Amino acid sequence: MAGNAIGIGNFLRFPGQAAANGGGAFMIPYFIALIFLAIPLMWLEWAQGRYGGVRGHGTTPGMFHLMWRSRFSKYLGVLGLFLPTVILIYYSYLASWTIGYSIYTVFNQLPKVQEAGITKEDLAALARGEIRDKLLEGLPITRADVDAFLTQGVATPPMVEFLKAINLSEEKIAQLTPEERLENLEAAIVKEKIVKPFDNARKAYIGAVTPDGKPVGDIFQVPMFTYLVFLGVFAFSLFVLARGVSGGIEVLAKVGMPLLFVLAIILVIRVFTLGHPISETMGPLNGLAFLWEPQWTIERNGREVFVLLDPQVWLAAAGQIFFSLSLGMGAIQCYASYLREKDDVALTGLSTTSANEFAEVVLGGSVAIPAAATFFGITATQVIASQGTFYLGFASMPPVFEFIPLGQVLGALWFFLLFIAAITSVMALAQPIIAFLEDEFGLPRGRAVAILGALWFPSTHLCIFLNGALDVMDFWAGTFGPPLFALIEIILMMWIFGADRIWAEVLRGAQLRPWRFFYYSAKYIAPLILAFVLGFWVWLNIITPILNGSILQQGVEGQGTGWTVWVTRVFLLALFIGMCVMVRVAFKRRQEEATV
Amino acid sequence: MSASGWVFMVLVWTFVIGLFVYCFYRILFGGSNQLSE
Repeated sequence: MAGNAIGIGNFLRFPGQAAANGGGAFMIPYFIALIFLAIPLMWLEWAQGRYGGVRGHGTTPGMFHLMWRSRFSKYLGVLGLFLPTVILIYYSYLASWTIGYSIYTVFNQLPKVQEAGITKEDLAALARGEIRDKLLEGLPITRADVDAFLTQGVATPPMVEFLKAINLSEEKIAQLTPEERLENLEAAIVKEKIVKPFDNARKAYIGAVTPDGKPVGDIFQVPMFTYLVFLGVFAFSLFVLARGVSGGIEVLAKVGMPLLFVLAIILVIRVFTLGHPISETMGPLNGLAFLWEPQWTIERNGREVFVLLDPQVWLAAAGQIFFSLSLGMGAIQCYASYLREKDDVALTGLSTTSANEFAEVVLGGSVAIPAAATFFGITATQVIASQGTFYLGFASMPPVFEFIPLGQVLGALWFFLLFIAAITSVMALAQPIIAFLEDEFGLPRGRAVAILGALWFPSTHLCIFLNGALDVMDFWAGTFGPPLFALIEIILMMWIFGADRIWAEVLRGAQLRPWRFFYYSAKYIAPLILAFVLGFWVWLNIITPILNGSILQQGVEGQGTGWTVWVTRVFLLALFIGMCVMVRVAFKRRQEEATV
Repeated sequence: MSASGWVFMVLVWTFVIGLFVYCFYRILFGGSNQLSE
């Protein structure tokens, strides 16, 4: 089960989210969400899965119907098929990037900072506040702009434009202290000169830009290598899935998980033996300090806000917990449905959580952020992380590996680690729809996998070729869907099915007795946190863009309103309706069989 | 890193690692009704 929960969320998304949301400020709501929300919800999902499994339903439509005898409940449960299937569609493509990057690293195909003439000494000079001419080459700012900014505090128009790229407003620039001016300028230079070429390489890898860096428009020009790697990952996934849970998925997890932990520990050790290669003030411990110094306030629009009252940090922290633990997706219930009635779901749920958190906060928090902080400093690390989920892992780690001995090997290991994390999650995400076809239609596993493959393969081509499709899918299925489904689950289990009944399910066969505290947390605190997070999310992403009119340009998903976005939305809607019809047919079929 | 940073990190790491070790100890040696994962 740990193979399901441990994914690229631990090693890529967690450090990115933590760094972009203030490091120590992020960790406080993160742990509150873990204790009050994640642990009780994990137990509920395991208990629900086993409850459904022993009664012949391996997926949430049937489980919801068992717990709430309403004609609508099974359609609410469709989300537990829809969300993992959509995530599978784009996540499998992401998994192929990681193995593709591992191969690229082995064969030296990534850009080289040093080929551009930038050395470790240049970075060391930058850390001392000395900005060498070669670091300004090709940038929109000149030496005169730099001098005016650093010595007189005057931000010339080119400097303002340059700093806007790291999300600094003109007002904010005017308020910077001399020290902050230097830090932010250094961060902007690192982003543009060191990290951006690697992000361009990532865009070229997926065909979003031409080899000379020009955007390609709505349809990506996907390189043959990228496509072939995806085909390989897809074929491998189908092969493992067709071998079944015990013959394929468990074997992969039993090999993959220990390997993943070993690789991660090797990388952590390497990062913490880096020393101070650039500056005495920049080392791996500075990265740890950034992550672990508790910050009780966070800056929002020029004001210091108490971190526990800031909805954006809560949103980021709770969203990370959901994504990382695969909560609110229907995947955990599916695995739990294979348990026997007396199997210990309390211990299983807690061990899944603890394995994931070990991989996330101890290992995942000790690679990308400390490595980036060692070479680029904290401010630049924050800037890099705020550029997007994949920036820290795909764009800042390759230049780090370039500057350290055996970097090529370590770089290949880093991306291979991400691949193992991703491929085991792919297996888990595929399981609900396969189980549904097996349970409700009585199909043999091979045919169920073939049907899934026939849906999955063409659907992923939307992500491969259409600009914005992957982000639109991630927005609805990866960000919005899980908290919504979790809220529905909690209301269904704690308030409709009955809190005492579901808690008795959690305790059935459990040698580990969860504290009563978690019962109350599941019943009262978790739905309140979820409603708060979801309400604020809707306000921020849907109502505010409608009110200020930006929805017409940005779209709800922030990907514009072009035809590729609409094609993806129509696809998602059609898939959801198709799954509702499938559930209806399956239930009718069961009813007819029962009456015969 | 300041003392509060060390304390926070050590507490959280102890909690997470402790929970991890405890759970897998119970799974392997605790005679739990838990299927091998």
